[in-house]
Amino acid sequence: MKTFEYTIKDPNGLHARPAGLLVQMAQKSASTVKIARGEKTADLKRLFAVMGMNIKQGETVTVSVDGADEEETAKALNEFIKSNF
Amino acid sequence: MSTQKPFFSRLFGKTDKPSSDTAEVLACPVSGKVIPIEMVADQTFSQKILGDGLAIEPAEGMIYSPSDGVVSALMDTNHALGITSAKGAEILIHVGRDTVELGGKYFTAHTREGMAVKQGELLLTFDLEGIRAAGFDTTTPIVVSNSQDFDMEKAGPGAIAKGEALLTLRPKN
Repeated sequence: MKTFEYTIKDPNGLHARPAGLLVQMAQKSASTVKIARGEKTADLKRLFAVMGMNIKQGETVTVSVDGADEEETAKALNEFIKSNF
Repeated sequence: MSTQKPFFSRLFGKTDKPSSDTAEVLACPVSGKVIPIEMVADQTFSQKILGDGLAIEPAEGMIYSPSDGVVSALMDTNHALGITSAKGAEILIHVGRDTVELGGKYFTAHTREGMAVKQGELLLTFDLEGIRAAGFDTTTPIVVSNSQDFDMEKAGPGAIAKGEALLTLRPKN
């Protein structure tokens, strides 16, 4: 399993539109992809689960990728999150 | 016995086709004008990244539930929400473009995340003129985020009243 942490810098947090792009990217992966903040975890392949987290600026999320393509998936997601949030 | 057809099919001698009772009709959540999703200025919607559907240019500042279901996501800023329908469609309603930047101003939620809702129940109100005056496009995409699971029939472009059929979904096998 690969994990990385990121603190959201976008003043609008992880809102619907870019969250959709992130979910679409996660859906392309063969691995299980999760996003966590504190106690709460969501399936990063499900838009509604991610939106329902209401992740805000200043909050730190942990993304975990578990599966065959975890290396590439974690790298791609990390880059996307860094440049968009 | 496995080849036996359902009662009505036997009664009317029809072949097995997807019956209309498996279809789900999503009611238009707001009166206004239907706009093809491909015409929405926001590429995330026009390229169907968040799913297929339609957009409405609202004529009033009210969003009603398109189906029976559960409010499965409500943004804190009340500009977007997700309803999971009783038949499993995940319906995203996003009022306006870039309206997340309003930080909740002009929007009021009349529901909460996790609440069961009925078709036609009031979910959100918003100050349509205020949002327009603040310089925001109020075109409201209504998309099914798991649209890949359904065959979708869409209402034609033009005027539509709230409650009229907007999208008809038939589960794919």
